[in-house]
Amino acid sequence: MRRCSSHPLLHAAILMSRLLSAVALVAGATTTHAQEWPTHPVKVVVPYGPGGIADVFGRITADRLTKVFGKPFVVESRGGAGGAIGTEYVVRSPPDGYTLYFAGGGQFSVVPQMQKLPYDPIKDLAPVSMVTVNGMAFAVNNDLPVQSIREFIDYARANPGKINYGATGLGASSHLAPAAFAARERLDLVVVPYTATPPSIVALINGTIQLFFGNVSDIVGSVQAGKVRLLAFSTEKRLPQFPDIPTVSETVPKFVMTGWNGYFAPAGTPRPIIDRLAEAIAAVCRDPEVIS
Amino acid sequence: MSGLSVDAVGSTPEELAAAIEADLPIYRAAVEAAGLMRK
Repeated sequence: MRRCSSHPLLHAAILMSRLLSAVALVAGATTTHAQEWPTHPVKVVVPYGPGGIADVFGRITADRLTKVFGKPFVVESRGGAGGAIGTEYVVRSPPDGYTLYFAGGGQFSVVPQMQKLPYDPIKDLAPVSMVTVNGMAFAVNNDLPVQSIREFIDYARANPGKINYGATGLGASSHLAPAAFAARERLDLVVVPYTATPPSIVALINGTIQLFFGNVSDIVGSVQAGKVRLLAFSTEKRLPQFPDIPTVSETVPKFVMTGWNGYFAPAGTPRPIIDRLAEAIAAVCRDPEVIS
Repeated sequence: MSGLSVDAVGSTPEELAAAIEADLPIYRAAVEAAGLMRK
């Protein structure tokens, strides 16, 4: 007589039961891990050099997350190769919630088109939460005889190759936005590369370049000081802070370009940790002190 | 952040994933226009 436990169907049932128990154990362990997380400091990798806008926002939010979770969230700048060095470091890190990534959209939509990468940011990083959104400002030298996007287009068409724009890095928003704008309107604009933002703004003020079309935060001070002329924003709608400044798309339909920064984690990070982080970050973004 | 003309916005992971998807064609065209597309 065969033993019951050796019956193939029963054997399969036992195996299935053990498998389900194992899955339940792992799920239970993951839930417990997620509930206890974080038990030690959390690293927030910013794939750029220190002092940039992503670094600043990364530190503001990391400081808030430290207070929310009661463990240090420590920003680590790992710049280089257009952000690829820091990004690869994160995708190779354990997906345990102790390594996070704070970066701009360019790491997903720009860098992979410019470089062959040893990782796929979309597959290898799990989105957590967006933190900032910013438009691009279309600002010109005060002596340029244009007061609107329409006039700029007409002037540029009449003066091919005579309008220079400053790009604060290969593939930076100040490089891509004017290039996309010129392609859309079939304009012959000349790119002038700079290694950083400040010299490009100085060049716009003194007339070495005639156009800066990049992050609002880079130019807003010079606009407010009357040193350059702001013609438009690349946002979908007018900005509440500048209700009299039109959008580019009011003249060039559907021309909308915005930038953002957000938090990610290595793919495979337990979903409960990601959800806890996303909720905390949303709360941080509603904090009046952070908003101001 | 508004002092820097940057809006603070929280999102769900799904909303962030959707933002990436929406960006891809826009920035692909921009990278191409800038002559930066890798060979």
